[in-house]
Amino acid sequence: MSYENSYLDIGRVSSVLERLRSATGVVIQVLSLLAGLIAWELYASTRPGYLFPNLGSIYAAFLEQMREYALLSALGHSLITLAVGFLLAAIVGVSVGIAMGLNEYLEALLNPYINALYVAPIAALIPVLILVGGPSFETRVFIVFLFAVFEIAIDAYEGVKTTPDDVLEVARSFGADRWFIVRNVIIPHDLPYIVAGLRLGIGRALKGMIIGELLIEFSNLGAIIRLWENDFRIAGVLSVVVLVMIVGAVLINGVKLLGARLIPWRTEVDA
Amino acid sequence: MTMGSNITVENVSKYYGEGEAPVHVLDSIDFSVDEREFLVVLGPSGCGKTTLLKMLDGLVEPSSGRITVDGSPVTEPRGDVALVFQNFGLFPWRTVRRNITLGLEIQGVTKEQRRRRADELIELVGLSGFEENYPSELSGGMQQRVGLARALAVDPEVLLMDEPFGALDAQTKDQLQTELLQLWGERRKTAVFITHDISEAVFLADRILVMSPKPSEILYETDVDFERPRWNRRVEIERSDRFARIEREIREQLNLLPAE
Repeated sequence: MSYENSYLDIGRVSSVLERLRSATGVVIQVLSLLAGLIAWELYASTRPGYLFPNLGSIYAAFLEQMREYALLSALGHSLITLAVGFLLAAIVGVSVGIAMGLNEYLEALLNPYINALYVAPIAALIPVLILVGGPSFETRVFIVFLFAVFEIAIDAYEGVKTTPDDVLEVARSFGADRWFIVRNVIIPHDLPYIVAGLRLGIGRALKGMIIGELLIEFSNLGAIIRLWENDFRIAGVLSVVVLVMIVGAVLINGVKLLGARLIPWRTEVDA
Repeated sequence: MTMGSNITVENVSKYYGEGEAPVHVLDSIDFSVDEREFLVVLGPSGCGKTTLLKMLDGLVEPSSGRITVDGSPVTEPRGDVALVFQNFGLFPWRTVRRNITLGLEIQGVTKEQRRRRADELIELVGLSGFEENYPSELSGGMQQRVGLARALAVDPEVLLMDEPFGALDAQTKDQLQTELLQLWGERRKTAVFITHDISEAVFLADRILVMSPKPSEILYETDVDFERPRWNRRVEIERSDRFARIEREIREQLNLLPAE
């Protein structure tokens, strides 16, 4: 039918346009990054190096940390904390979020806590956490968990609550029971929300990881930051910060890629 | 031979809300639909047509009165009645094929049979080659073909359609009306079709019920006795005097004739 053919042509044209647009996006991103680096370098040239190090000295500090401070092994250990804390947050956050969305008693019971703790300054609670858990790996994992879990739970909950009535009605019209609806309507609709929550959650988890290593137990990357800070060698602080930023960007994009694989259909949520 | 369905609606009323000011949607509706009859319910927007249809499907409970399909009362959605939705109601996360097998999955049909049945229907509604596409990749007309195939997949005795072409552009609507009649000729079911489009009603129906605005009651009933099949004689039928006469009668009932 000519009807379907015209549809396909439109699809092809729009996919070419889309690719063009995303290519332009990449170019703009690279240019913006370059502009930022140049601006940094120009400003750094007017300041004393120990206060505002230029890019060269940050890179030099990075190389020195690789050689003499076992930077990569510290990163590896930091990432273990991150992985354990984030995984727990993902499991607990997604389950609690979905359960709250499905059950109004649970919703009424947990909503105040989730929302209050989501905005609570968790960093300020660290003395309490040390008192309870001591300066340990477990306490640091718990901080990572706390930073990420509420974001993930709230997003998963939101997805359940926004399931459109019309698809629910379709399922009921065909005689679906509650369990079928949860598995085949509510959870698929929630999936993009869950992935969005994980993407935001991993950024927060990373912050929790560094704060834990700076304030709870001087260890791994946090310990390296502390050592260089104490010597007023700002370049060495910034080199670790940049490293964490890069790791964060990689992880966030990893979650995005996972989302794209998990969700091949078009959604209104930018997962 | 299995018995076809006939539908009876006895003295059905519907109120929404409680307390001092419930909204009175339907008022003592009484009618029946014969086996394999194509009934069109015609009425202005917001007259409770959709509510009536959802009651036939078992999605909404009447406030009073009784509805039966094939002799047994409708109390919940059942397998021998299928509904086609105005806004298609496709699952965005399912491909065309898996949207069509939805009802079969719920009924516990095996995977192999579901697939065979889906492919048969995909062919029937002219969507071959789009089995693995998602609904967002289809035009509105193609999406409603999926909606129709999904309803037919469970091989219902009764096919309910809630303004199924109301969201489509005029040409696509025209095309799908013709296709629907062709399909219905091949697989004759008891059909209840809701619309506010008068010429659509006259072209499709064996019989038309005209409803009043809220609280709705049946204003008028008319038989439409053009011979079937009609799908291949559309222009002839729509140009006929009989068509014009029926349309005029309905317009009179709905106060849609300009004062002369």
